[in-house]
Amino acid sequence: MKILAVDDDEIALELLTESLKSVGYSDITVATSGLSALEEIDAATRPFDYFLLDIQMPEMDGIELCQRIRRMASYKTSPIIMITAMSDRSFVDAAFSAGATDYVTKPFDTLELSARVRMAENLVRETRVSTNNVFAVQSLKAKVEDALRFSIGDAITIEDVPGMIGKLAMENYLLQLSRGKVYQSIAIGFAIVEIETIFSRSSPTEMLYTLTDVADAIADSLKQSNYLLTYCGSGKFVCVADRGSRAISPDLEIAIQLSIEEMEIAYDSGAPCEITIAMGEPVTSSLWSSGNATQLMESALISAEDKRRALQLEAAGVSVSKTKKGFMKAG
Amino acid sequence: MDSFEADKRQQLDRAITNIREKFLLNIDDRIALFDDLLAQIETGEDTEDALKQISANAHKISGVARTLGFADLGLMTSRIETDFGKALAGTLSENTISPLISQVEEMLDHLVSLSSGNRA
Repeated sequence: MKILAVDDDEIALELLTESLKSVGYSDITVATSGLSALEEIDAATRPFDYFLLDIQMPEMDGIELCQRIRRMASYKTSPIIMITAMSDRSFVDAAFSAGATDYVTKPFDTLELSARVRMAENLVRETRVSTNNVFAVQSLKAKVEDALRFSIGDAITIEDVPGMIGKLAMENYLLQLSRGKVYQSIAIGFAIVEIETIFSRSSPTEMLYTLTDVADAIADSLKQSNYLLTYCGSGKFVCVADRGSRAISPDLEIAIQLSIEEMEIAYDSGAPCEITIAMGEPVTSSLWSSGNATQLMESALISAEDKRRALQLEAAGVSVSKTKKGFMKAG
Repeated sequence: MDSFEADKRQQLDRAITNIREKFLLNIDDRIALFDDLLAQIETGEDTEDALKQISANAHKISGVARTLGFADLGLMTSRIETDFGKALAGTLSENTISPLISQVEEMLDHLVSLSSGNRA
């Protein structure tokens, strides 16, 4: 594993390097500023496998560096672990929005660091397998469609959509939220109706573009809110936003649907690709709930799935009882 | 813990001891830097910049102090960083700056005692 560690404090970098060595990582390059990190990336003859970036640095901070790394084709899905002091928690949201995969807190706990880095290592391995199939769509465009094949349940990475992050990053984001912050958050699931039919009629590239269009429509309808969005596979998305956000209303589903209709999504044959979005009930958490914050996400997905099933049954002529509108509680 | 892990742990402990020594060797430079920034505040010459720099340098120390075995220093610097951050987000006045300076002076006393302890 080739690691680039960036921190403006040399003592912190030495501690980080020694901690990584103690858990078996020795191929570590260090940089003491965002600019020198970019120079190291440019000069690397073999790409880095993942990055550890301090958030608070003068001139170019870790969040900007993270954004710049994410813009590079080779590092669109590489794990980026942010290093943050406890007092930097306010920056954590911005870091996830900028494309961070996870974060560790300073002062380092070698056990925690080791666990985070191992998780990143697993992600690197999985991504290496998938890269040849799905993730590097742009570079593989010219190759045969077979090389792009992915299964309907894969939580593939959707790029270049504002607020869109990977599923693992979303889980890590939720897990780091304080109980109060979880309470202030709301999760909503969205599911594409008849996804199996659309998936079976689409080539992998078409499917990827359709999912990107749907993600764009969701992001566009949420643009006045602070939100993060992720794709969870099987045509399902989850958005986590501030609880008080005005965009989160029953009209959101209509706004997304209108936005999709304006896109006039079509199959490569020219035939229209009818997309209907099922929006689940908004899910919130009680201040006293003992569950894991990722339950917000799970509950939102379940609700979207229920709504999708109901819409599909309705379309098939089976009558279903309407659920009462309101916020569901997670867990 | 197996012997391989124990070796690695010992190796890390040795490395941390070396880094701790390096930190102590350079502690006078850190003291001088904080002194200069306090002087900058005293002369009223770009107070906000001086406060930001103090906060950034306290941030650096708080990130490593506890791991290097300086838990009290870690707490002091972390508090400085938080309180300076709050003060910088509001309106600066003599009333808000004065307690901040006291915090830095207390932290400097602590750094000086670490430095003298190292020389002794």
